[in-house]
Amino acid sequence: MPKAPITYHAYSENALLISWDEQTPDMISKRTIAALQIKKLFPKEVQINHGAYSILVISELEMDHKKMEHLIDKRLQSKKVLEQTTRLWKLPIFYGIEKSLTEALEPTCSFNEIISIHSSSTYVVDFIGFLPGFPYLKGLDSRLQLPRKTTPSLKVAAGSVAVSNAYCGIYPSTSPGGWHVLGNCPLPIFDVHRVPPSLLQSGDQVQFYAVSQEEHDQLITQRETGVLELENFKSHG
Amino acid sequence: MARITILNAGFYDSIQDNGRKKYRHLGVPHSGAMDQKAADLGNSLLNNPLNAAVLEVVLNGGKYLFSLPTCIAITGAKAIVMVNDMVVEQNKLLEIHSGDVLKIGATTTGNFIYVSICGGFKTEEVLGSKSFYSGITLMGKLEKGYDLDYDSQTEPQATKAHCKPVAQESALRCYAGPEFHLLDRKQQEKLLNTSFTISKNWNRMAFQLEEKISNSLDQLKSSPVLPGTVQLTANGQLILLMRDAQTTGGYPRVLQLEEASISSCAQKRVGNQIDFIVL
Repeated sequence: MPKAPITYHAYSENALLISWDEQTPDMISKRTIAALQIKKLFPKEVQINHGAYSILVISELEMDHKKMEHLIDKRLQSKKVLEQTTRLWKLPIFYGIEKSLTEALEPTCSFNEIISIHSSSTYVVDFIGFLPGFPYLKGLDSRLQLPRKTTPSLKVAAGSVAVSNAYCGIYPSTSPGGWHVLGNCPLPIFDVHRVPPSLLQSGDQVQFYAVSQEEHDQLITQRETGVLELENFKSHG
Repeated sequence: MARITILNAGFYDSIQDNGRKKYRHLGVPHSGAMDQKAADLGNSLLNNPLNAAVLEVVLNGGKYLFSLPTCIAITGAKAIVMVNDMVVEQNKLLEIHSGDVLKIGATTTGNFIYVSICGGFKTEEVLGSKSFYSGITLMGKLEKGYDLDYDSQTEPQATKAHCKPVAQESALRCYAGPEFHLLDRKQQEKLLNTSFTISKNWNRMAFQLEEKISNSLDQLKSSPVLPGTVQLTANGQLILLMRDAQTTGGYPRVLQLEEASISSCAQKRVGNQIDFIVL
C-alpha cells in the first residue's frame, strides 16, 4: 500500500503545519498517534493544535523548520508502533430537540427516531475548537446531517448537544451558535479549575445515553455540590 | 496588598500578559497584549519579567486611584496621560505616591495603551496566564469600582529611566499562508501590491480590511489558525486574526504575519493603510 502523502509548511517563526491528504483513511487515529510521537520527540517544547486533516506544531521559541521537518518526518515514517489506549465516554443527555431540527427531519424521522439514531452511534472526538473545550464529534448518522442555521441563535445554553453538517458538538459554555440543538448533557465539559480543563480530547470515543429531565437535574445538582465523579462516565478501550 | 481602584473604566480595559500558550489544543485562544512589543517595553523599563501582567487600555482610558507607592510606565498608543491632573510623559518611568490618580485620555495615534507596574498586576492566573478572556477568566473587561492588586515597591529595580517608543511600520512582514499557492498569479499580486485599509470592524479577535480580493477558493475542513493568520473569505473579505482569535477556522489562510508585525498591526487605526511583504 502506498504511504499517505504528508506535506510540511513553515507556518510562522515558531510553527510548522503538517497536513495529510483528505482521502487518508483512519485520519483521526493517524493524526492522534502523530501528535503523540511529536510530543515524545520534543517533550515540553511543543504544543500541538489539531485540525481535521492537519496538525500545527507550535514551539515556544523560533524553530528551524527544515530541521524540525526532517526529525518529524523520520519519526512519522518509521515502522515503530505506538501503544495507544482509547478512552470511551458514556455521556448522559436529556433530549429536547429544537424546532429547526424536527422541522427539517420530521418528514422522514420522528422525534423518537431522531433520539434512537443519535444515541446508537459511537462518535470520535476529531478535534477541539470554536470555543474552549468544544468537541467536534465525528460519526454522525447521515440522516441527522443538515447545514447550520442560516441565522445563528444568540444564546445556546452550556451543555447543549448540537449537530451541524457531519459533526455533533457539545457547547461547553453558553454562547451564540448556529448548530441545531437536540439535547443537553449535564456534565462539565470544560472547567478551567480542573486538570486537564477539557473533559474530552482528540481521539476519545463518545456514546450518548438518554436520561429523563429529573435524572439530568440530579446530575446538575451533584455537579454543583461537587460530588459528581467524572470517572464513572469513562472506560478504557 | 496595594491596589488600584478603577474610578472610571476606559472603553475596554483589561489585564493582559503574554498569553495562554499551552491550551490551544483544547480550543483556548492565546489572548495577551495586542501590542506585545509595547507591553514588553513597559515591563523592561520597570525591569519586570516580560510576562508580567499589564493593564491594556483601548482607544479611551479611564481614571485609576493608587493606594500605595509604586512605579509605572505608560507605553503603546499615544494619548494625553495625567497623574493628578499634571501631564506626564509616556515611555518613561513614573513614580507614583499613595492617593495618586492616573488619567488616560483618548488615543491620538494607535489603539492600545499599556500601563505596566513594578512587579506586575497580581490578578488571578487561569491556565497559566492572567490575560482576560471572557469565559476563561471571571471578567472580560474591567468595570468601574473594581480593584487591581499590586505589590507596593518604593525602590524600583529599574535599569533605565527612559525608552524610545516602539517603531511602527506600515509594511507587515508575512509568511505565505498554507493556501497562498491556491490563489492565481493575479490574486497573489493583488494581495502583495495593494495598500489595504483597516475597516471599522476590528476588535481583539480580528481586524477586517476594506479592499476585497475576489476568489473562488473552497472552504477548508476545520484547520488550525494562529494570531496573525490572514484569512480570505468566499466573498473576498480579508480577515487578520488577532490575539483573541479562535484556534481553528475554515477560511483559506493566505498569509501569516510575523510576530512583530502582529503588534504593529494592532496599532493601525480605522482608515490606516497596511502593506503585506512576504519573506
